[in-house]
Amino acid sequence: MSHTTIKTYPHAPITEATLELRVQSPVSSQEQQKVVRRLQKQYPHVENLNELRVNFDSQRTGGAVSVSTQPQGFRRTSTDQTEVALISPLGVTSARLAPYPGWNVFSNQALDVWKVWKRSTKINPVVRIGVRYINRIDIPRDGRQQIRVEDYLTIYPQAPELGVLPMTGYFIQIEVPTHDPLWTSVITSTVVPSPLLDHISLLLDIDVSRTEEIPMKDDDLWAVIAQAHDIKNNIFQRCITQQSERLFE
Amino acid sequence: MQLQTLSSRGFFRPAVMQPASKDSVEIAKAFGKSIPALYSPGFPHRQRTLEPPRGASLDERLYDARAICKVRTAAVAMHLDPEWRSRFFSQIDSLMDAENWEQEDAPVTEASFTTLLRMILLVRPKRRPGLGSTSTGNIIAAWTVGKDRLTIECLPNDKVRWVLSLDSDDHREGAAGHTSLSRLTAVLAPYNPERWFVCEGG
Repeated sequence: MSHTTIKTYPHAPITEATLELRVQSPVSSQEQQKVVRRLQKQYPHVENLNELRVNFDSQRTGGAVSVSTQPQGFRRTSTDQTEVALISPLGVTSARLAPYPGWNVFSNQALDVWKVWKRSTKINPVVRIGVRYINRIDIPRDGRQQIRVEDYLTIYPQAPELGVLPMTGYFIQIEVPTHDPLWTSVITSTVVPSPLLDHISLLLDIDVSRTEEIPMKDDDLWAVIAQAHDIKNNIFQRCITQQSERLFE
Repeated sequence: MQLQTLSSRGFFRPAVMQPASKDSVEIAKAFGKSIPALYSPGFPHRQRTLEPPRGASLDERLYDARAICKVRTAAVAMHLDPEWRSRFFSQIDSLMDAENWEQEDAPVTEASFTTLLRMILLVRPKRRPGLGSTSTGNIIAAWTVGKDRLTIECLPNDKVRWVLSLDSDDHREGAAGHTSLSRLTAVLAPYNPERWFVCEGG
């Protein structure tokens, strides 16, 4: 995969940017709570995350159903809900909802959360880095009865004509190693209900991750994370068309 | 590949047939792997609902309602002016402030707020509306210029109820109706709605 020129857009279609750092061994509930407390200033709101488990015992007469909840960590949010930190036994995730403030701001947000995590937990190497950007391309219908996906994305479905009516939806997901073999990318595209009236919205979800040769030192770690961002940008640029770009300007 | 633009219904229907052969088992496994990757992104900030826990306090219910309004707004933030959005958030905080809230009133519902957002992105008013709400949780947007007033109650599913009053040379005129968002601009057109939506002097 060759590199392309990276552009910035005044109306970037990013609905969500996420950076996940997963560690080798689960941390204790006390350590998680320490992280949660220390993030209170930047992220004043907190919620417990629970997994709901429903068990059905077919051996008992009539079948016995029991429901239980299992703690899965904590979710802290900023006052305007756009900055999110998820603290779980196996790591920490920073997320940013739209409007996307740019990589420098977002990566600094994630770095601050990571520093709090490191200060509050025992030494625990990172075993996975994941950088994920979800983009939504809102296309005005402008009176058209149909739109062509390939006018907006270079990743699109191909199928024989199976009837007289056009396709009403699609789902594509590809998993492909990047030009740097240490990184893998998963690219997903589909149609989503548009939040705008009289629009069609296409989703372009780019997930770049790595599980090998992850540095221990923060400076080196963040340099590696920046690589993921560059790879994501390159993929994004290659997946969109000029018609899409015009929608972001 | 052409995509029909008239359909907004869910496009993907998971296979309901039980796998019978080895191939179909592999296909089912592949779908099982890929579909959750899209629809359960693993980031629980997408999983908020407006259903507060039973016995939730007024503060908790209002917090949840404000939070969901802001998350919904974030989803379209790229289409909003940052300054406009910031002031809009202040209005939401002020509207659902526990100190000024009647205990028996329902907080603004997600369905009503979604209609408000879609209306704003349709009309794109330069002037922000004043916000209010009904006791049942419908949000109300109101624009007043001089003695001319437009009030729109946002109902679920892109429906609105509107009332306006105009001050002409020698009499007052009023009108009201119930319509869908897709018809709103056409319905209001005879009353020159730009008087409310466009700021004088920019």
